[in-house]
Amino acid sequence: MTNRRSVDFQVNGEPMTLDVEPRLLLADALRHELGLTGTHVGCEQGSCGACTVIIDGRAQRSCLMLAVQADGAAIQTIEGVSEQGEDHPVQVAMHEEHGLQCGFCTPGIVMSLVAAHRAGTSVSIAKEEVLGGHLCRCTGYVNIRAAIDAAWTRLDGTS
Amino acid sequence: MKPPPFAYADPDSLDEVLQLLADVGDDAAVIAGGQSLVPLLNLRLARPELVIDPRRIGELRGISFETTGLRVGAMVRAVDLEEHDSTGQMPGLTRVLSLIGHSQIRARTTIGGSIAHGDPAAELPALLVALDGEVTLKSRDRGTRIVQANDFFVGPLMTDRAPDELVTSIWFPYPSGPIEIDEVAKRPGDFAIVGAIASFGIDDSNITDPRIALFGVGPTPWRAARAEAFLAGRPANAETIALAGQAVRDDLDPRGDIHGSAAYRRQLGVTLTERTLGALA
Repeated sequence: MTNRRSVDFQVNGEPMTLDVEPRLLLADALRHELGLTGTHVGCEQGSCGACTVIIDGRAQRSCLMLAVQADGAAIQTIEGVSEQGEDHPVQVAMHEEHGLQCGFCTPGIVMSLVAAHRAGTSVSIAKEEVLGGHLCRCTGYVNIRAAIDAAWTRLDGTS
Repeated sequence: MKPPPFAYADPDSLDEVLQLLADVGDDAAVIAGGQSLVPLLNLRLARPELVIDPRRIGELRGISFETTGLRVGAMVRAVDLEEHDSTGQMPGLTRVLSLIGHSQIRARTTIGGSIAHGDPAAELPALLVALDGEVTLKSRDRGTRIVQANDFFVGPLMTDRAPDELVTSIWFPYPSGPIEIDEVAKRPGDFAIVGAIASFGIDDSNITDPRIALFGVGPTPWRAARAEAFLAGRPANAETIALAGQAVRDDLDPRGDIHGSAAYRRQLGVTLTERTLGALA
């Protein structure tokens, strides 16, 4: 008795309507229904953070949410963080500080950091608590932390 | 993996939710924040016929810091409570909340969901047991039922909630002093191997209303009753705290598993009890 449902939401500022099975995860709706494959799916149990997107202003796991629950929500994915074709300062900093190697975890980390900076989170909390919600098996985190320092400096215009 | 097929309902009223629970019972799963249920669905450890989402029910979202305690609607998210203006009325509450998962989890996880899930290593069930709180449940056929925290948690992920009941709100009575929490986990944000929550008041330099609850040490949150008895009426000093620690060492009988042996858990229980009490003294 699976009932397909219509979901109306906003993705990267665009209103969208999807007809989905209730069991479809938001992460898979973004990837397979909308082709937004920048959102990565790692563990599917909330541990790794690769699937993190911004939902109604807060960074959340899109693998721990059903697409039907996103009805009425405003979602931002990695595809939506650049402005006028320019990479977001967090993306620039990740690039310049070599904050990634394979890049699988990177979109999720960028989304958490973008949401954290918008919410006024301090750089120290971003480097500990916010980054703590992500697993990266390549970098050892040192360069990601350097990228957070650089991004906050860029965004806040201070050193 | 991906979740097995199920039907989904997000009714507009509490009555409709209770009607569905009465009709479908054990084959229904209520999704609150989904931070425990969706992993269980993804792993196919949960195979409900129907997932009921009470997200549209406004009356489950209230936060009320009352004179003698805090009442929280079941669908209140951890982050909403964490960021509430009145958390100062319950000193230590935000620190407890900050240890639940990561910020990305707290953005969705709910107070009622955590209580209804009843994970013995989770912070909120232990807080509820430490404070002698209450769980309010509603069903179509039996109306409102209020269950004491101590009776609500009956085993790992097992509670006194009947299949046709919905957890609607949680009552956390204020303790007589601030709440202290400490836990040991492999990484910040992981479930604790062992954690401790403690609180007491001080009257004429003696301890009043002592409360100690440990989590991650058994099938349900564990209240250190004999240690509390040692504390009551005694001065809040190192000697008293050592007595309480000894009582925990004598009474605590944890099981070992892949995350920690029984002896390690017992030692953590003692250390964390002493540490939280020491922070309060």
